[in-house]
Amino acid sequence: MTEHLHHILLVEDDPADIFLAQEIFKEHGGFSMNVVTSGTEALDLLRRKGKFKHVERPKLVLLDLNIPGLDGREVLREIKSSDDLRSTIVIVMSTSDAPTDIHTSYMLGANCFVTKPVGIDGFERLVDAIEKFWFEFVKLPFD
Amino acid sequence: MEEHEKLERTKAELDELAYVVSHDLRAPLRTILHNLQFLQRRCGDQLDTENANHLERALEATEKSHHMLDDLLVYSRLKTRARPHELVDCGELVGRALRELSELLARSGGEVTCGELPQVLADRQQLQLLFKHLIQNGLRYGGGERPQITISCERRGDNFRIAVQDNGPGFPGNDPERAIRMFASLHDPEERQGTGMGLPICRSIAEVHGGSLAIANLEEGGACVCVTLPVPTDEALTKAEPPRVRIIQSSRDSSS
Repeated sequence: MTEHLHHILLVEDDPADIFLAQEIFKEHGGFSMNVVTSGTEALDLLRRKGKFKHVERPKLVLLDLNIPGLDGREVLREIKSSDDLRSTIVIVMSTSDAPTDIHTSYMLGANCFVTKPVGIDGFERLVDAIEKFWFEFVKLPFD
Repeated sequence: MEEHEKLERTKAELDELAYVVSHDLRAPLRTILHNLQFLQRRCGDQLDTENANHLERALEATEKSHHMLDDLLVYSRLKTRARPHELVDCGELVGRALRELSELLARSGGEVTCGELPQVLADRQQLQLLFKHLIQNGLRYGGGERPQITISCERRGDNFRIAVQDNGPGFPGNDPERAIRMFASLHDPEERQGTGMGLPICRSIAEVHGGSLAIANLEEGGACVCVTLPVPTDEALTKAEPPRVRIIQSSRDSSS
């Protein structure tokens, strides 16, 4: 059944949010999720550099805006301005709904911006929606 | 002049503080909430009644703290994030607020009577929020079985005076003004629904629009909140944002 898993990448530095996402995606099933905690690692994984050489290329990235070091905005800018990465779906996730964060994300080419849901029910609905929309309705430009 | 600048800076810093606090406290609070929810979901049925109650109370308090932070964020943004004022119809905004409150309206068995309301220059979202809070308060604290809320308006000189009255017990204590202080209602052990930010938010909205908000208990019973808003001057009207194109109201909406 492994060939049916949706490969995604979570870029998140908050251990609690990582735990939450792992639990909810695991309970939901159908996904295979890699987790990195910094922007540099995110780009390395997407380009399958170094220790990520054998990692399956994710079709979709869940990107937290506020990560240390190379922050989410820089990662987004790099993905969307690189020919090799541009087609990757990037969902920006933030605790904030600050208009500037939303605006910046779309200007940098985010596929969409979501505020991190409050409550595990909300998170489950989001995972359902991601699967339905991005993996059922949408045609992605991958093999 | 120097004093004035100092005051302005202090105000800006306070706004910034509220914004940062409500933002940065969110993350740990979400974590508490999620872990409690996992606990409840995964071991809820193994807990005896007393421990299930402990968990339930912790969950309620966490959710309430979250709502308080949301409201604090709204409050902190009122002055810093105001959008340009446009000509808005208060009656239409009341209609929209009522639709947002339809569930509470049905549950409370309440009734809202709205007289003719004027057009004013305002930030549409903020003013709708003001009406929503005032009606919500009336439905929550107004007269027991069947809260009756009356919204009316009269012109007084250069101001419209919009009154929202209910048929409830009125504001508690001898000093109704106390209810407008931030988080005031939270000191009331009977109070479990609100965040204590509704009236401070409403007053701030009124002030941002060059008006004011006052509350009183009526002699015939019930609480009354009075909001004054300036009558738009011709000069202000020509400078205001042109009204946005809006979808023509369906017959369902025409009651507003």
